[in-house]
Amino acid sequence: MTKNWSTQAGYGVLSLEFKKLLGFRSVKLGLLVAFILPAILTLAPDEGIAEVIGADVLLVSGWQVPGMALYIMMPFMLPLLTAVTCAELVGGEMDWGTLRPLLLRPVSRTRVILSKLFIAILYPFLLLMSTLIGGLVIGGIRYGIGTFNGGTGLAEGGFVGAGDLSPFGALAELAQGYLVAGVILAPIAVLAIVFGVLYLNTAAAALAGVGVILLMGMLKVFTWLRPLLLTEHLDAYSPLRASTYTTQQSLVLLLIYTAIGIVASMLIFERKDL
Amino acid sequence: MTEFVAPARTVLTAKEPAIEVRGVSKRYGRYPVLDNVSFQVLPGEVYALAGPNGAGKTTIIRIITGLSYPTAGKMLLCGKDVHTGGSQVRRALGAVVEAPAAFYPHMTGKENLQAHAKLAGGFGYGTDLRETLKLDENRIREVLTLVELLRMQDRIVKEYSLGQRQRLGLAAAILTNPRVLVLDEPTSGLDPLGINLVHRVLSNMAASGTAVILSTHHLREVSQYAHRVGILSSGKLLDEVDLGARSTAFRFRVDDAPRAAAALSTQPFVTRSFARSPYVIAHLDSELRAPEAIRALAVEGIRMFEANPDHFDLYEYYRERVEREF
Repeated sequence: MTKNWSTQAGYGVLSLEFKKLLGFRSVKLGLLVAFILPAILTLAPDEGIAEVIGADVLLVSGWQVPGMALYIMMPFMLPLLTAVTCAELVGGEMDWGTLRPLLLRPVSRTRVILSKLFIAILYPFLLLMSTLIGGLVIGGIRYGIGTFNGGTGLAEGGFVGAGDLSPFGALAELAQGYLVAGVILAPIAVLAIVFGVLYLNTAAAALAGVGVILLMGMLKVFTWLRPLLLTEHLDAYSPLRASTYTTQQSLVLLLIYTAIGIVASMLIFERKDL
Repeated sequence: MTEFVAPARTVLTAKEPAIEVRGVSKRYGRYPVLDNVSFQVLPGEVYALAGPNGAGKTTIIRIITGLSYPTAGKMLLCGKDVHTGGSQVRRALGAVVEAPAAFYPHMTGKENLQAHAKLAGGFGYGTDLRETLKLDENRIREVLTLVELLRMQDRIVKEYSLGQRQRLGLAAAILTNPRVLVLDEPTSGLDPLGINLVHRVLSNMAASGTAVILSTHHLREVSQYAHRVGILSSGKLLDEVDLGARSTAFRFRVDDAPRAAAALSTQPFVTRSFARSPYVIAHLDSELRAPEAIRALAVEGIRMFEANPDHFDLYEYYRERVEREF
């Protein structure tokens, strides 16, 4: 009976966390921004986009819009949206005063924080999915989504590509690129949770999360430190990156950061006075 | 409307304490908040924690519920350490630790209680403790009815008033029919009817064997249904007042109070009597002796107009006790 109760309570925490996530104003706004931004970006001239991305861009197909949007949103917008919402997963609960009542139920703190971490890691994927769908919708309307001569920007050949690309091939390239981007955002999501648990305040946690990313960006002046800096690997989704690290190397490091963040937030939360 | 059941003072026999605070101390850095606090609460007992602001009431409530960790000492719920015994220890617990009680504002009152039911694993305690209580729609309706919020069940909590949120908090706390009920300022923000409703629910819970502990500033109010009051000041438990032991005093309005006091003092069942004109106050060895006291006054030819229990003035006692400490 106890195990049954415990399992039910565990599902209860996870489904509640998901319901809470969808209730956050920052999530509604974030998903909307992620959906609309590709449409706004398609209004920009190709030269402007090429300048920002640092590669030749000639938009001829709807399949290229999500790739272009990813290049422009990944350096700042998506990490920011991720950090703010994930900080709110803990801080918002403190603001509402609902974290304590949650922990009064027979649910372990480990289970509560793991549920939050799971939802935090899931959230960037929701954002990316919103951008992907938004990009395909506007791209489809403007350029169509048939076979085209070029690339999505997320595989070798970049936006120029290597000959004709079928819709299926384009979708596979986008799926892989977006999946990698989701993994890249995972340590940022977890970092926001760590600060959320530490400060129990949304603003402080979001600020600390963004602050750490900015700090890492500055620390690249220490060349020997670069391989360990999170910011040096945020473009691991890009085949156009000028980095010396392979995508696999970057992903391993990002996953290690994610794991360290998960363990740190669990340890802090377990003994935190609430 | 639930029938009122008076707290069962007589059940407080040699049972295992439902709440046991053992030498609990808490420091924040160098600043001590609680200093070696110890007390017990038995099943069926209502224990009120009183004290000035900053006395440590909320800290002790949070330690009892496992939300905060003591620097020293132990906290047992139904015999198990709430901090090391695992999450299942909290199965016996129902609590409101925020004032007003906190809920997800974008969810309805009913949805919030459904979430609490899920988090509790879908089951609580039945009337017979060996049985389980299914936390289904019926149980949610039952607790919402108890706190008179059934008509508000489908409204989002954001639209609730302070008092309604407080009552919803009580509904969530009693949802599982817990063995231990812990409440921080349960009547804060409530109107007189709401306060009366909380008293009624707590009294009923205690009567069914639940140990109730609450923190409060409303001493005169709580003295009507609490069994014991712990007075906290500067993190120390200054005193424990057993209100049950003080409830055998009676007040008679008579035509000659000094003569009535003298007459009652000769009775073997009167432990103490004195005049407080136009009343005579008599401490009896049992509540059942009140009719005998009235007879004794009549025999002496003293006219009696009114007879009432002379409630112990907890507020006056508390004020005097806390002032003495400073």
